[in-house]
Amino acid sequence: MSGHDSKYFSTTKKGEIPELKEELNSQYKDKKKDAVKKVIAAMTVGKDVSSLFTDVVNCMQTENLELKKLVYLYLINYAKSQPDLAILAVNTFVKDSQDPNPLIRALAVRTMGCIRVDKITEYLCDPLQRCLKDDDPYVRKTAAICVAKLYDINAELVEDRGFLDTLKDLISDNNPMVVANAVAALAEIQENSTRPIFEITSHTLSKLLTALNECTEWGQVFILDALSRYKAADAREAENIVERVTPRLQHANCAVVLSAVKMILQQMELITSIDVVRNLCKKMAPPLVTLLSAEPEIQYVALRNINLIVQKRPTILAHEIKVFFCKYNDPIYVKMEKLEIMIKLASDRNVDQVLLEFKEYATEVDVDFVRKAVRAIGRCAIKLERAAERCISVLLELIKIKVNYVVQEAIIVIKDIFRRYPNTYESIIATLCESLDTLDEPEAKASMIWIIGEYAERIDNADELLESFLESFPEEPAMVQLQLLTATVKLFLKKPTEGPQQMIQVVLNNATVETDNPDLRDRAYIYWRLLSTDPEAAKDVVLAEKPVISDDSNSLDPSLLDELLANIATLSSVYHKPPETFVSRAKSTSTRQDDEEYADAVETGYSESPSYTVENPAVTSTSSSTVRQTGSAAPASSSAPTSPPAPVQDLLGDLIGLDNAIVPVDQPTASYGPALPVLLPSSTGQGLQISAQLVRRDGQVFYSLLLENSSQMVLDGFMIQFNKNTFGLAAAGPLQIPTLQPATSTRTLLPMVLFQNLSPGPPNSLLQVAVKNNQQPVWYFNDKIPLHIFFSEDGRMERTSFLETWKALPDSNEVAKDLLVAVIHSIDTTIEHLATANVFFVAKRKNANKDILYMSAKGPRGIPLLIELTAAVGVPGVKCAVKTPSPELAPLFFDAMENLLK
Amino acid sequence: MGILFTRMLSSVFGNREARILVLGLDNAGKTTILYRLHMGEVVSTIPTIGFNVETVQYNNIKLQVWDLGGQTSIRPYWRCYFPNTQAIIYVVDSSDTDRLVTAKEEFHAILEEDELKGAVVLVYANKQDLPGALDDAAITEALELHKIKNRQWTIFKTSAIKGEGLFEGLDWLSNTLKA
Ligand SMILES: Nc1nc2c(ncn2[C@@H]2O[C@H](COP(=O)(O)OP(=O)(O)O)[C@@H](O)[C@H]2O)c(=O)[nH]1
Ligand SMILES: [Mg+2]
Repeated sequence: MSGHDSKYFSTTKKGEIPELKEELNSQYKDKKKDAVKKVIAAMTVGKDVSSLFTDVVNCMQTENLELKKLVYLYLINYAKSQPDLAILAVNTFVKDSQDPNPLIRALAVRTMGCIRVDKITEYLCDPLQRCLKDDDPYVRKTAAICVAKLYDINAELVEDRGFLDTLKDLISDNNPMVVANAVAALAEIQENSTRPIFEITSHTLSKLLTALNECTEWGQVFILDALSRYKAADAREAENIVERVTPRLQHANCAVVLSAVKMILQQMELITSIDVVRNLCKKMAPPLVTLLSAEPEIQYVALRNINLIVQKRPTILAHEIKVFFCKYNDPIYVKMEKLEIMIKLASDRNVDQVLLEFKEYATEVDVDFVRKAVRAIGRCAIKLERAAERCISVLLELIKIKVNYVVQEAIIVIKDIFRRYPNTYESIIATLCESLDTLDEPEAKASMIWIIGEYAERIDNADELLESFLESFPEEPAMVQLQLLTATVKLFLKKPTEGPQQMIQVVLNNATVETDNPDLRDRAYIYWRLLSTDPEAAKDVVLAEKPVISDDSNSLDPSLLDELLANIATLSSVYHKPPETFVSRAKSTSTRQDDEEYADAVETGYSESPSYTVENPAVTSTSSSTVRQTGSAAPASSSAPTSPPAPVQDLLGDLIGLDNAIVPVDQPTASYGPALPVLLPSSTGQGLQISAQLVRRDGQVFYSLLLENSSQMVLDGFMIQFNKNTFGLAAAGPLQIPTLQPATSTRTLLPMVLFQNLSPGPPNSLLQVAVKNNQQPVWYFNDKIPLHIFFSEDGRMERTSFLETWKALPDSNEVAKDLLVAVIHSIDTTIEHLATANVFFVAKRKNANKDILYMSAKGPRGIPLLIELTAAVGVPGVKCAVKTPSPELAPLFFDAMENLLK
Repeated sequence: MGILFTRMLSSVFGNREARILVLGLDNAGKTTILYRLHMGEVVSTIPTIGFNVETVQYNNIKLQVWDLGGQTSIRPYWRCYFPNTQAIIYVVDSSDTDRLVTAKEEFHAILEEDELKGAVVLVYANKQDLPGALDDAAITEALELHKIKNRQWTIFKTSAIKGEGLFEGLDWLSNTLKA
C-alpha cells in the first residue's frame, strides 16, 4: 500500500454513529431519508448500527414508501438484538396493517413475520387476524405465510387464536395464490408438529387441483408437494388426480416438473392398470429429458433425481440412454452422474453402444472419470450376462494401452467378474499377470493377489508371483497384507510343496508376531490353528466354493429408495439421504403436545424457547438431539422437511420489490447439519466412522465431531487426545459421548483450549488426533487446523489504527500470494461473508478494473493481521497480501483465506 | 449555508416547526387528542403500543406531535424521545381520581429530566365532559403544578370528545413558542 492511499481511511471527526443519529432526527425529510439509506448501507457491510434503533424506528411513520421499506428492512435485521425496544414498532404495524394501500398492509404483515421477537408476538395477532381476512388477495397470501412464521415462534398462541383454522379456510379462497400460500404455510407448520394439522380431504383436493392451474409456478410447487403426500382412496381417485396433474410436466420451470414427477410417481403406486402406468411412464420421459438441456447445475440436480427414478421405474427412460452420453464439455460432476445412470439403463439391446461410449471415456484425461468408466464396463459385465464377454474384451483392450491407473482399475473389476461367472474367463489371467509389476494401488494389488491365490492351480508360477510380494509384506497396507495372507494359505493348500511351505511360515510370522493390526493377527492365528490341527478342514474352509455375486448397481435399499422418491425435488433426493440425516430441526412438537403426551421431555430439560434455539444453534442441536433419543420427545418426522423456507421469501419479496434487498435468513443448521469431513472412514475404523472439524462458536473453539457406529458392537468409554501442535490445541474437558449402540450415531461439540501442548518448529496446520473406546484399538487420524477459527470477534480495526499499524510494520513483514481458486462474486457479499469469519472490512478502493479491499483480523495471541485483497469482481484469482508482526503465519493464513473465498 | 438561509427566511415569515411530546398515563386521551387536532375528528382508539406521530399546522407553527403509549411497560422508553423537544402536552384523565397520584409522580419525574429543561408545559385536564371530573384548579392542586420552577406552564380544561379547550391550549402554545 503506498502513501497516497491513506485518504481512503479518512474519518470524520465526530464519528459516524452520532452524525447519523443527528441526521435521522432531522426535520428535513430528504436528509432523514438519506440518513436511513446510510444506515442500511452500513448494516449491509456488517457494521453494527443497532444503537440507532429508536432513531430509525421513529422514521417508520411516513408516507414515503421507499423510506418505510428501508426502515422495515432495518427492523428485520435488528429487532432480535433489541427485543425490548422492538415494542416501539408495534403501533406502527397496527396502523400500517390498516393502511388504505394494500402494498403497505402486506409489507407490514410480512415484516411482522420476519421479526422474531417473542415479546411482541402477542401484539401482532390482531393485525394478523385482520390481514388474513383482508379484501386484497395479496395481503391475504402474505398473511398466510406470516402464520407459519409466528407458529415457529409461539405455536400455542397461533393455535389459541384460531389461525390454523383460518389458514385451512384459506384453502377454499377464490384466489389461487392465496390457496398456494396457505398450503405452503400449513405444510411448514405440519413439519414442525407431530399432530396431524394439515390433511387433504376430498373437498380440499378439488380446490387444490383447481388452484393448481391458475397459480404461479412456485405456488404450483407447494400444491404439488402437498398432493404428493395425499393418500388417494383408490386407484380410480389416483388416476383422476394424476390426469389433472400431467399437464404440469410441460412446465418451463424445472421445480414444477420435478414436483409433478414426484407426485405422479407417488400416486402411481396405487394405480393398478398396466396400461395407465405404461402411458404415464411414456409421458414422464420427455420432460425429464428436457431437464438435461438446462445449465449444468440443474442437470446435476436432475440427474441425481433421475438416478432414483430409474431405480424404481427403469422403463421410463429405457429408450433414452443416448441423452445420458457424456459430452466432452460436460462438467466432471455431470459426467460422473451420467455414468451412473448409463449403467442403470444399460441393457442387452443397447450394450454395444454403451460399451463404445465407455471405452472412449476410458481414454479421456480426467483420472477419476476414466476410472469410473472402467468400473462401469465391469459393472455392465456383471449386470448383463450376455454382454459379459464383450465387456471383458473391451477391458483387455484397455489393459493393452498400459495406462497405469486404467490397468489397475480393470484388474479390480475383473476380480468381480470372476466371482460373478466362475470358470468362464480365467484364460485371461495370463494377460493380467503381465501387469503385475506396475501395480501400486492397494485395491488393485489386493485384487490381483486374490486372483493369484484363487486360481493358484492354473497359474504355473503362482508361487513366484506371490513371493515377489512377500519381501515388502511389512510395508504393505492392511488390505494387501490380508489378501497376501489368504492367498498364500490358498496356494499352500493347493500346492503343498516346499516353496509354498516356506512362504507360509514367513507370512504367518509376519502376520502374527510382527504386526500390530488385530484384524491381520486374528486371521493369521485362525489359519495357523486350522493348518496345524486339520489341513482337510482348512481346505473346506479356505477353498470353499464362493457364492456367486450379483449386480449391485441398483444399490439403494428399497425402503430408503421409497423415502427418497417421496422427497424428489428436495435436497434429500440430491444427497440421496433421508432429510432427518442432515436437517436438524430446532423443535418438532408444539408446546401443548409436550404438556399432554411428553411430560417427561420437559423434565429432561428439553427447551421450547425458540429464541434459544435460533440464537444458540450449537447448544440446542447437541442437547435436543440427545434428549430426543433418550426421552423420545420428538419422533423424527419421516416426511420431507426440506423445501419450503426458500420459496417463502420469493413469494413475499416479489410484489413488494424487496427482492434485491438483503433479507437475513436464519441459519440455525447450515453450519452444523451437513458434511463434516470424514477423517476415519468406517472401513478403517472397523465400523466406527469419525467425521470432525474445528469450528468457532460464540468466541470459542470447538471440535465438532460426528461418530457413527456401523459395527455390530456396542461402543463405549470414548476418549480423545490431541498430539502436540503449533497452536497447542487440546481438549478443554473429557469427551462426552454416550454409549454408542450399533447403527447409531452421535454428534458433539468438544470445547478446546489453546497453548496447552505446543509443538516447536515453524507453524503448520497438522492436528493429530487419537480416539479410543473400550472395544476397539486406538484410532489415529490427521486433521487440519484452519487458521480462521482463531480469528477473534474483536478483530475490527478503525481506519486510523489500521493505517498506523500498517505503517509501523517494516515492509519485510508483508507477504503476498495469489489465491488462484478464490473468487469475489460481489464485494458486499464477500465483506459480509468474511465478517462471519471475523475478518472485518476496513476500507476499499478501486484501481482500474480491480477492487482493493482492506481488512483486519486478530489471530491467536491477539496477533493483528492487516489484509489487502485485490481482485476483479467475478474473475477467479484474488491477490492476498498480509502484513503482520508474525509473518511466519502467512502460509496458514493464505490457506484460510483461500478456503473462505472459495 | 443554504440551509441556514431558509431557516432565517421561515422565521421571518413566522413559519416555524416545533417538536411536541404528548405524554400522560394510558387511557388519558392522548391519541384521541392527537387525531382530533390532526384531522378534527374523534377516532376510535386502542391502547398505543409504541407511538404515533403527526404534524399539526396551527397559527403558522408546524407542530410535530409525538403521542407516546402510556402503559407502564412503555413509559421507560419515553426518554428516547426527549432530545430537542420544545413543548410537552401532559394529558390527565380528570375523572380518574384514583390514578392522579401516579399521574403526578410521572409528571414531576419528567420535569426532572435534563433533556427537557427547555421545554414548556401545557397540561390538559381532559375528559371534562364526564361526571365527577375534577376542574383545572383541582388538577393543578393534585399535580402540584405550583411547584414548577423556571418554566412556562399552563393548564386547560378539555374534552377531546367534544373538542373543547384543545385549541385554546394550542393558542397558548404557539404564542409561547414564538416569543
Ligand atoms: N368521555 C371522554 N372520553 C375520552 C376523552 N378523551 C378520550 N376519551 C376516551 O378515553 C379512551 C382512551 O383514549 P386514548 O386516546 O386511547 O387514550 P391514550 O391511552 O392516552 O392514548 C378512549 O375510549 C377515548 O374515547 C374525553 O375527553 N372524554
Ligand atoms: Mg394512545
